[in-house]
Amino acid sequence: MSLPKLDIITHTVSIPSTKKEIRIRPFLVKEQKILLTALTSESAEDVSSATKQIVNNCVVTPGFDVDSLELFDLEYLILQLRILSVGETTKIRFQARENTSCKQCSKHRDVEINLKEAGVDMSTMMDKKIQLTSTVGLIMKYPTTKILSKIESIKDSNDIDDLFKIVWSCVECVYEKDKITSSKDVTPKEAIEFLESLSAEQFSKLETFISSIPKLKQTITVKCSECEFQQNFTLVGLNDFFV
Amino acid sequence: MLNHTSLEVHYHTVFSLVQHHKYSLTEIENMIPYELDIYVNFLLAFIQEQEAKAQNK
Repeated sequence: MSLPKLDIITHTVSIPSTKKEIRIRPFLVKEQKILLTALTSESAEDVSSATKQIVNNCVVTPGFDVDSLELFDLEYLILQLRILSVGETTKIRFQARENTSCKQCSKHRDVEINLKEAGVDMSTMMDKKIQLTSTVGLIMKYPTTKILSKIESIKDSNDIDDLFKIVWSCVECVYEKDKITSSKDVTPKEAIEFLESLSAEQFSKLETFISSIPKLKQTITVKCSECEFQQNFTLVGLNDFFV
Repeated sequence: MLNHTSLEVHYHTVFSLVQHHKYSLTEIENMIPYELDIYVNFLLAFIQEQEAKAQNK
């Protein structure tokens, strides 16, 4: 039986969606290498798999399951791990401002930002119950990391069935009066047939729910040191923070 | 996530530390990334100090 290692400092982090507190440790150089290697491969599936592996390694709370995390929870945890392991600041390159006589504004600028000021914007969250007709409705769920790699593999596809698969992955169950059918008990063919039978108005309700997924966000005010022109930028999602 | 470094920089740093400064690969890999940055910065400052001393001789 392996005993726990007590030689590293752990920190408490609250998961945004559940407010449950877990303990994490910083990632190590060898774990950073796993991620750097995955980033070199330029495969979204490799990156998501490496990310999940690192989060799994660094959460020391027993019983933690990375696959049950919602995507924005995973992004938040990665940001916290980055703050603990590398530092709380990063430099972001901002585009040059067009049509300006200011020399400073007309160049690309690196601005240092404090990652501790970033958080998950939960204000966009919607009711998970979507009423389609007077008797039929859906209970939705936000996508978890378990389906992340599936989404990554089909997100650039133009196939409408692939789009339906992503939408269906956000459906928890379908209800009709007292009968409840779990989305897990439905075959992909049946799911696609069901989604195809929805009217444009009904389908737009599902799209609205998916676009309401909370996101990791930070608003930054960049002020030019020469002309004092001030601009606000909003960083959304991990990609914006670490491009 | 890791825009402060790249795989190329990582291997180059690790090689230099192992080859020229007696660190072991295991020691480096079990450091937290910010610790590695601190050691590298201390080492750079030390090398610059030694170079300045050598030039003043």
